[in-house]
Amino acid sequence: MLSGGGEMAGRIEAHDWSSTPLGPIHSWPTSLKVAVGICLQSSFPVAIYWGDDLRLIYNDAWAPIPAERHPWALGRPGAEVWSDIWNVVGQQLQDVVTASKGFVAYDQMLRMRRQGAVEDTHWNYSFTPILGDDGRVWGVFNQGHETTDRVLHTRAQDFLIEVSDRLRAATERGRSPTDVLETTLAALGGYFDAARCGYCEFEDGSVGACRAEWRRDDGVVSVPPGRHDLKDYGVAMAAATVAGEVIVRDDLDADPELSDEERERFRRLGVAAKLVVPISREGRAFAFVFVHADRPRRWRSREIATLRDVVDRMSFAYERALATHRMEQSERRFATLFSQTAVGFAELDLDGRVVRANESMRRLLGRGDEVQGLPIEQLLHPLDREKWRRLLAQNARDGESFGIEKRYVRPDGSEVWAVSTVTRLVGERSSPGEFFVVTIDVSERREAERLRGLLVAELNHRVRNNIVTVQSLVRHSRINAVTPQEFETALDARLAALARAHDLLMRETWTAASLGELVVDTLAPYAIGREGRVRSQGPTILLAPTAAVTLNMALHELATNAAKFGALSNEEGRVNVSWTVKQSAIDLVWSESGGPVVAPPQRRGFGRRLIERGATQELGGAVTLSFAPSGVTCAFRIPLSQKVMAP
Amino acid sequence: MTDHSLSGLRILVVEDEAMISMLIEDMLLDCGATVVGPAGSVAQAMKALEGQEIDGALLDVNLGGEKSFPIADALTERGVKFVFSTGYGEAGVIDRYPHARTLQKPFMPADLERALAHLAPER
Repeated sequence: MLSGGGEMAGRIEAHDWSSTPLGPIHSWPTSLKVAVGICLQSSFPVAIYWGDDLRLIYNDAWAPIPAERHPWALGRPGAEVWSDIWNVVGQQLQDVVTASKGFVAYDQMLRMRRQGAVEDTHWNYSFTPILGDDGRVWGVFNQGHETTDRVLHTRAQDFLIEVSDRLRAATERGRSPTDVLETTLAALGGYFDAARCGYCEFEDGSVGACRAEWRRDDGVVSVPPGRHDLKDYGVAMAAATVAGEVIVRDDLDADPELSDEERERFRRLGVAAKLVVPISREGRAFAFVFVHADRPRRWRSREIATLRDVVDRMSFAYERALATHRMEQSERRFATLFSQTAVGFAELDLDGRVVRANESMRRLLGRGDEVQGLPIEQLLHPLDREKWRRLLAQNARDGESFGIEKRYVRPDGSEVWAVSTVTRLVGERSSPGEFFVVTIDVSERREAERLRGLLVAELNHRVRNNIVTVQSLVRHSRINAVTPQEFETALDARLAALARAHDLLMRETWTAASLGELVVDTLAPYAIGREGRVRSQGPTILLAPTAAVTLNMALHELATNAAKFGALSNEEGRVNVSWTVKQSAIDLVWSESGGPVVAPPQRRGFGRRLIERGATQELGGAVTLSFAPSGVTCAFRIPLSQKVMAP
Repeated sequence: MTDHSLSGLRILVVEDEAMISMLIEDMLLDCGATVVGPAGSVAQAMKALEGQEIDGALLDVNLGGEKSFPIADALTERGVKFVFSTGYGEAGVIDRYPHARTLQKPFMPADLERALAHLAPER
């Protein structure tokens, strides 16, 4: 029975069977002897469970199955040897014994403790009843072999396909990049029957932050939020992770590298075994994926390879999802900008035709949807087209962006000045793409420039006319003066009057002066010290600048005369200036009273000439100057015109 | 004053600002010319032209809002030469009278005399 039975034959022979229910070998029943003979002769793993407590006898090929329990297992009860899996195989054996019927299992999962770690193993095996002389089942003949590697391989293949499917779905448009992480971690958690897995990114050295985490939903605690320094969980492991090495720990509680404190940290998180796969870019780890188990376990090389594969796929998909997400956001931002901005945006094809134009651009062009497809050149003012063509041709040569100020002509014929910046976008394979045109309406600026030009010209005009006016004042003051003293006094007074008229006009920025203010200002120097003797009243009349200057000088001449010879030359004379409007003309009367007796002047002086010429030639009216003995009266009748306006 | 170049010439003066027209009038009188006007508007000038023989004219371009071009056209029609007096910014608008001389304000009596001298008939 034992001859040629290998190492196990020797062990069986040497075993003390008399202390077992089987009794010494020579007393074994024939059926047992025959079965043991077949067992030992077989090259296939074979074991025999015999007797009421199913004592174990096995061959050399079967010996590795119980791992470190061999050779202790020989002759011991099945329930004792297989305490870890007896809940499964004990029942199966019992059924075979009871029913006296063979049993076979394929890829049966048995959670088995081997080399100190519990692992999920898979087996093909059969239980065949061995009948005794009495026809009852005296033992069970077991043949079997481990299929764990093949099962894990198949599972890994299926798992990778599943992960690929999930990643494809997670990277569809509109999904958030975190979906990639979360779906992968959930798949990994299931595959490894893990307590927790997560994705962390390094922020600074060995300090990282958890970006996504999956947990088994049976009270597994979460990794505390915030940043963690990996060095707090084992310095050597931290260094290896940062260096991009895969970390495999079957039993952290028994890890001699860890301090008590570090072990305690793992215990608090419920981590008994872990697997860490770093993600590197350009030789530097920037992130890692961890898988935590809450009981010690053996991480098989097949599983580690699968994890690395999945992490690779995940990080690739994540990066792509982030890029897509960034692009979508950028597109959204651009679309918002394009539609909301007050600045005109347009895209032109290489022939200069409008591909797209935003609302502001359409408003600027005064056009709607029909603008699409139109060559932009057609919308330009004919005088600006040559410049546009020249700059576009220049751009075709050097690709440099350019700015252009030009006019667009709207469908209603109106022109709008606009400044555009034109940039050529780069198309596929660096070929020239379309033109991007940013445009602002500068009509207001143009109009302001035009007005400023007009204003400067107008000012220059007035300054020159003023110099001629001064020339005239000098000449006439000189002719009428007897002494240089008289000349100086008269000229000074006239220049002062002219300056006052300009002050008044300046206040209204040279648009128009009020007659009332003009009269008050002109008479002001003569009213000082003559309280109540100089009065003026009349409705609001606006004077154009030249009319204001002339009337101001005319009143000045009347006032000077009154101060020299008339009502203002004594202590009680009065001057009254009043005006009314009727029949599209104003009647303005200067009247003096209470002065010395008036004698008509000997000659027509500058003042009289100015009054008459101003009233008739310049203002198109008439004037009557009378030198009655009771006082000078000067009555103007001036038609309303562009120069003299009643609002 | 017989040596004056403008002696005996009848010159129409068109200028809307009274003080300026007085100066021009005096300057012309000093040069021996006879002044027609001065007129302060197109209407006044056209009226002054009726039935009057004149030898030349000095036209202020801008007459308080209206331009003196109708007068220039009427003068051209009659074959009367004229000189424009300008302030500033009118150079462009008088391009349509390429043969007209221009006198820019301010000007001295001698400038005025020179500008108008070419109006004198050959003597």
